[in-house]
Amino acid sequence: MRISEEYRKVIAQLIEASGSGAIKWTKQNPTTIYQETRTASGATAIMSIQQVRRDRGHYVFTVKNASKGEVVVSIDSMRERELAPMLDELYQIANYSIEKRSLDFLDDIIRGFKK
Amino acid sequence: MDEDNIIKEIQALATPFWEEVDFWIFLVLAIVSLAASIKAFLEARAAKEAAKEAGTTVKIQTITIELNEIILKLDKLDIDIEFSFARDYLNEINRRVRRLTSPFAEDDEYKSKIETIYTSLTDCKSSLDSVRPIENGEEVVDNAVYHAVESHFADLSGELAELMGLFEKRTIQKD
Repeated sequence: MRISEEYRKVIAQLIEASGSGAIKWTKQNPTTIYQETRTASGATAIMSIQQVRRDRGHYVFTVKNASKGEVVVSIDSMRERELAPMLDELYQIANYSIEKRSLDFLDDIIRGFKK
Repeated sequence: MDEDNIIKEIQALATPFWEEVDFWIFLVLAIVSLAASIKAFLEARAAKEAAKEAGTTVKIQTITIELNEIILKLDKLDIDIEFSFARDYLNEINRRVRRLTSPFAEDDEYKSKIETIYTSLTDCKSSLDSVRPIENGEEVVDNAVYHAVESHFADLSGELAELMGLFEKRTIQKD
């Protein structure tokens, strides 16, 4: 099995987890989203996706072992063209989940006014 | 004076001026001096044009050197570049490129290329704005600024090189 096939499976799982709200994404800036988590072995992992160029469908997906300060995974959709559509989907869903959380919070504020 | 002499005098006075040798001598002299004046005028005008063109060529060579400096700067992008540095860096490049190219922006030979360069500068700015840190946000993801501007800077570098090529073509043709 090719490595990209393995990544395809992992990204599909991330898309699903993002859609269900299991992954809580955070925005670093308007086009960079990350999730910081603790792994089963206790290490701190930072997973991020950046929309580099919307006009070219260019994304960079990285996973960093923050405890060791090393980048474990780095996928650039300009090099891994076959993963570009999945990274696009992951970015859109992750972005939507952040927007949804913001809207829910706004909704909460508005409900507070009405009390 | 007898009648014959009077007739001769009248005939002499009635001779058309173009039959006079003096007239032709003065006419030839006048034409020669007019031709010399026209030739001097044309030479002076050609010399003025040549001086003007030489001035433009020197100016273009100076611009080409400065464009080359900008290209080298664009190509040496640090992967750890931070937002505030990138913003200042881009502002400087934007200002210098526009200053150098604006005198040629309406010139048919360069117009299209310069428009492309201005579009790239705008795209660079938009891309940099897309990684502007959110207030009080933490810088958790590394190299986001680098990723955002790198491909735009590469495009801009290529376009500036093409403009340099067009400028060089002009100076080569004039040499």
